[in-house]
Amino acid sequence: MKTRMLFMLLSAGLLFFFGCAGSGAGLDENGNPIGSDNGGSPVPFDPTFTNIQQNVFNRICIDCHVGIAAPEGLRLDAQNSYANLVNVPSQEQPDLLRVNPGNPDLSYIIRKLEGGPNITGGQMPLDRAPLDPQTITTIRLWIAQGALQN
Amino acid sequence: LKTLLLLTALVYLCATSSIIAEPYLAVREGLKCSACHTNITGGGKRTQMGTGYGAIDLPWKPADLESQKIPHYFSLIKDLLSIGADFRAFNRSTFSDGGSETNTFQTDKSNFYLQADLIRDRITFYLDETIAPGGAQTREIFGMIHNLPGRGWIKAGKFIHPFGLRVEDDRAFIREATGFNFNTPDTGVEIGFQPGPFTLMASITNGTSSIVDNNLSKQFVGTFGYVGDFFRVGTSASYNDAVDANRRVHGGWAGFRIKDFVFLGEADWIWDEELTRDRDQFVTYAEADYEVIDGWNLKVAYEFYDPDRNVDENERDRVITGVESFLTSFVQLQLFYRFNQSIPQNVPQNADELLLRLHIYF
Repeated sequence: MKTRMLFMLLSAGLLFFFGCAGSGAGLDENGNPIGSDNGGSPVPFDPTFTNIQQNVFNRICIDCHVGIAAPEGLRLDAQNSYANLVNVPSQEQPDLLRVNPGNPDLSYIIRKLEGGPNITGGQMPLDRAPLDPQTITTIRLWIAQGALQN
Repeated sequence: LKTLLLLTALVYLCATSSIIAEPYLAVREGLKCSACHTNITGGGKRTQMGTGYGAIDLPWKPADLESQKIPHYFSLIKDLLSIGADFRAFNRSTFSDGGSETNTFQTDKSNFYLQADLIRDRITFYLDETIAPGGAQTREIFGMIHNLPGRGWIKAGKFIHPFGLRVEDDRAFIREATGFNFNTPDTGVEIGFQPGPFTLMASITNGTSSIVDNNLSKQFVGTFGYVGDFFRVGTSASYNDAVDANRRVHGGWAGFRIKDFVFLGEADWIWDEELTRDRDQFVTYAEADYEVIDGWNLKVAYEFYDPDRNVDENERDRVITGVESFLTSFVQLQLFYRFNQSIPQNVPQNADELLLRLHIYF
C-alpha cells in the first residue's frame, strides 16, 4: 500500500510539471523570434532555389535538418542543402531521388511534404502544420523547371 | 476534455498498473540489456532467454507452447542460426483545439532479424532489416566478437550509438532531439566491457548517419553506467566534429525499482555550433511504471524540451499515459494518450494523440 502511494505521488509529481511549455510570446509559429532572420510570416515567392532556401528551409526545416546529426543525413542549411537534395538518393527509399530534376512526382521530397501514402516515416515538417499548398506547388515548379541552383 | 482525460488516467493509475518503453523491463528484472538482446547495447533481436521471457514469463495468458510443440526461439543448426522479428501496426487519432482532427491506420516500424553464431559465444554476424513501412532498409548490420576479457566485445559495422536509455519511442524528445534513436544508425566500431555491475562502452563512427563520409572527422560516443539489482545510474556523452559544424551531447540517466514499480529518467544537454547558427538544447524524460498483474502494465511519462535555450518561451512538454498488455505469447497491445503542449501559435504541436498499437514479436 505504501509503495502504491509512493508511485502515485511520484506520478503526480511528473504530471505537476506538465504545463511548462512556453507562452510563445514574441515568436512565430515555428518558434523563431519575430524579426530574426528566420522569423515572421511566410509570403508567396517565385520558384527559385534561393527563395525556397530562405522561405522554407531556413524558416522551418533547419530546426531539425541541420548540423552533423541531421535526420537521414539531410542537412538543409544554405551551405549543404542543394548538394544534399538534387540527384541524391533518399535514405528512406533509395529507389527515389530526393529531388529528381524535371520530375516532381518522382521526387521523394514532394512525397514527404505532401504526406503521400507510400512514404517512410511521417509527413514533413514533422509535428508541424503541413506546408501550404501554394508553397508545395512552388517547390514542384522549381523541380519541374530542372531544379536549378538559381 | 483534457482535464477529464488526465483525471481518468490518474484514476487508472490508482486502480491498475504500468509500462511501455522497453528499458523498464531491464530495470524491473535488474538485468542489463544484453541479457535479452543479441545486440549487447539493447534493442532488436532477442536472445533465447529474451524470447523465453517474452513468450512465457511476460504474457498475461501465455500460450501452451510446449503441448503444441511451438518453439519460442526460432533457430536452425543447433541454434547457430536464428531469426526474430517485430511487427507493429497502429491506429492514431489526433485532437486539436484549433486544427482538424485525424484518424489513421498505419504499419509502424517493423523489423526482421537474423543472427548467425559462426563460433558459438564468440563470433556473431547480426542483421536487423527494417521491412516496413516503405521499402526495406538495413538498420543494423555488424560482426561482433564477444566474451572477451572483462566480458568485453568489439562490434564493427552499422549500428545504433550506445547513448542513454534506449526507449522504444523514437519520438521521445530525448531520442528525437539528441539524434540517438532507431532511425539514426551509423557505421564504425564499438568496444565495450561489462565487468560485474558496471558497463563501459564507446564507439567511433563516421558521424554522418551512414551517409558517405567525405571528411576525416569522426563521431565519438561513450556510456558508463552501474547496473545493480534495484538501481542503475549512468552517463553518456557524444562529440561529433566536422569542418563546418560540431555537436556535443552530454546526458545522465537513472532507473530504479521498488516492488512492482519502476522509475526511469534521463536529462540531456545538446550544443550545436554551425557556421550560420549556434544552438543549445535541453531535454528531459521521466517515466513511472507499475505492473498490476502479470502482463498488464500502466505507465505515465513526462517529457520536456527546450529547443533553443537562448530563446525564451519556446519550450515544449508532454505527458504520455496509458496501459499495455502482453496478452499472450508473442502479442502486445498498447493504448496510450499523449498530451502535447507547445507554443500556442503552433497548432499541430499542441494536438493530443490517442494511439492503439498491436505489436507481434518473437
